[in-house]
Amino acid sequence: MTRAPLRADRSALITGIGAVTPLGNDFDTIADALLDGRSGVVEIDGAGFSREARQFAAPVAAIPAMAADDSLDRLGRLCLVAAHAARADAGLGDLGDLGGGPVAGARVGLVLGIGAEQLKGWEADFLAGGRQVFSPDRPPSLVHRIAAHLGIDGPAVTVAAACASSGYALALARRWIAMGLVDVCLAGGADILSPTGFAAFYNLRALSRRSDDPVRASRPFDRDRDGFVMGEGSAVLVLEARRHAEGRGARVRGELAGVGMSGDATHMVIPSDDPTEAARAIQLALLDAGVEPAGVDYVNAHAAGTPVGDVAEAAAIRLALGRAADGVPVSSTKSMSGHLVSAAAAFEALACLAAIDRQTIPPTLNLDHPDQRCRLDHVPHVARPHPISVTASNSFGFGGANLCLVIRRAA
Amino acid sequence: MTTPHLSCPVAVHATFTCRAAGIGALREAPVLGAPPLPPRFLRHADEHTVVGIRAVQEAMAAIGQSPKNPRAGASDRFAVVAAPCGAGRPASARTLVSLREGGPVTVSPHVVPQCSLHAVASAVSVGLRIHGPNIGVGGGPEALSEAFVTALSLLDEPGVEGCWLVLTAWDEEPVLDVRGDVPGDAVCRAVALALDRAATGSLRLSLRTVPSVAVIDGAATSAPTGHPSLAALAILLDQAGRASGPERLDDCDGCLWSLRLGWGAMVNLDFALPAREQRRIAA
Repeated sequence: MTRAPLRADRSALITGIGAVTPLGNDFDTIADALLDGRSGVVEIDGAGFSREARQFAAPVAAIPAMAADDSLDRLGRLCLVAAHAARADAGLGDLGDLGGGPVAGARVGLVLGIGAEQLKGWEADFLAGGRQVFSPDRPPSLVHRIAAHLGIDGPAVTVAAACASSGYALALARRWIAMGLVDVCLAGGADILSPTGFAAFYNLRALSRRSDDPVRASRPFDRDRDGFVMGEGSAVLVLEARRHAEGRGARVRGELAGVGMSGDATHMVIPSDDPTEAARAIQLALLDAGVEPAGVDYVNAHAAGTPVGDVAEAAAIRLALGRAADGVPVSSTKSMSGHLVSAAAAFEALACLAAIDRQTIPPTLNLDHPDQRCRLDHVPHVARPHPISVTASNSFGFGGANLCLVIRRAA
Repeated sequence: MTTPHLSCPVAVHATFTCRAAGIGALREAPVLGAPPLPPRFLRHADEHTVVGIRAVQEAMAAIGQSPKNPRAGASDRFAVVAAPCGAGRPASARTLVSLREGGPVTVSPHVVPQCSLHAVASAVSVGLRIHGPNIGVGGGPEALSEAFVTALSLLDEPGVEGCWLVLTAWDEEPVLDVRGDVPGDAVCRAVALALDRAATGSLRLSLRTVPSVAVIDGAATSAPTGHPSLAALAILLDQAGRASGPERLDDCDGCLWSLRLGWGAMVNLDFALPAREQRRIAA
């Protein structure tokens, strides 16, 4: 294998953030919500797809309109708006205007983590009376349509690792920058609430069946948790080679400093009760970032609130961090955002950047009675001010996909 | 902009095709010489998963018989990158019909874990106990080009020792009937390539970028140029596998297959001449 060295000037800095989420559509609004402990979970109209009398979820209130989005469905518009906002947040103009723009001579890429783009597209069409799902016609993937909208001239790829999809998108973008394949890469993911998604996850017994109070339904690590709450949204980050970012004087929000990935290889749905592989992903990410376990200031847990998954993750964190685990604060922002599924990992990277920016750890809501099998330094109910330079964000998906991203404060 | 050149030997490859009518019988059929799948593992699997995992098993069986590449395919630290083009459509159709006619209680809980874009990669990882990352790629008509870039990129990730690249597609996307079923004569095809840095195989997968193309070529877009046929690639790989020596492939000058990507890059599958053969030609 011919390997490109990971040079310091090819490290991946985060220079832009765009998001459309249940907690807001820009970095400051989302950071405020996370640190105030506000929940985006509400009661929704589940007529036609929910088996519960009252159905809770964390929806996006409204997707900001864009001139170019007429041809895109809801999932596509979520992607486009977040990517457009990330580009603007990074101070990048029209990426297609390479001649004299801020990325002159640069190659720009796009990676989107979307687990079920085709299914969601077929579903929307079918429910509107269409027949696309029966037809052999195959429209271009969203990632190529979004790239065309944004004038992105480099590689464009869709990746899927279920609930870890957008984390793998960020990992791939970072690798492209390290290899010199691109100078700038937009990466993230999106997902939408949908009838088949609700029904399939409900029938899988993965969703919370609580129907008393929407705000109290998502309760990661709590003794009385009973599943996750579906959410939707999109989050896209701009990753940029250090040399390139510094060359144009970009504002740097953080660095994607390490990536670790592994596979449980035990079950298509249920996470392994042996924490070895999930812990290995965390350890690889720390090693990649050159960070000791005691150097981690905050772990944003995947913890969706499922009975099995939270216990497995707690064990993995303890195994990976060893004795340091007792002193590393851990929280799950899914208690507020719901589970954004394909977009979750990118959203939670944003949550880590918010923690770094505000030097405060977002809380885990509804953690009234921590499960004794999930012994960690939890941050229940309210945010905790804390010096934060290094964060780790875990994401786990169906098929035993394990991913950890280490996000570091900008030097 | 630098001009990275990524390349990796292909330790072993295999192709597999099956008509839709025969896929049911494959779900419990073992592959001689390959690691067995857990019992009933493919019961709910998508058609692409059935043929994709079969191709990997065939490749594993082949490498097991070759003393040249003793470690290829045996490593449980390989990544799995699978690019199923249009996977999950029959299951999605059945799910949507079921939702309309029977309501949410009739929706299969297997449709997300077994028929989404990640499902082929996950099934290869879980079924064959491979502990590297498993990722689905593409999903649309550009799946092939996206898969090659992703697989070659992942080889540099920490802890990844190699990569199973699994490509699947219907030879012609079938028209589904009103229940979502596939016509029995539709052909589903899979190609499995084991990318292994330490291998000494005669095939090599590479990606080259030409920076001037991206900047100067105003027509350059992220979309690949055309949609290459998996069937054509599979046929070439089968020919290469049958070739007794490089002379059988002289007419393609060592390059078995090329795919020009729209953003100024080229993916090549090269037939590497043995050193002895290279010296003979040079002389």
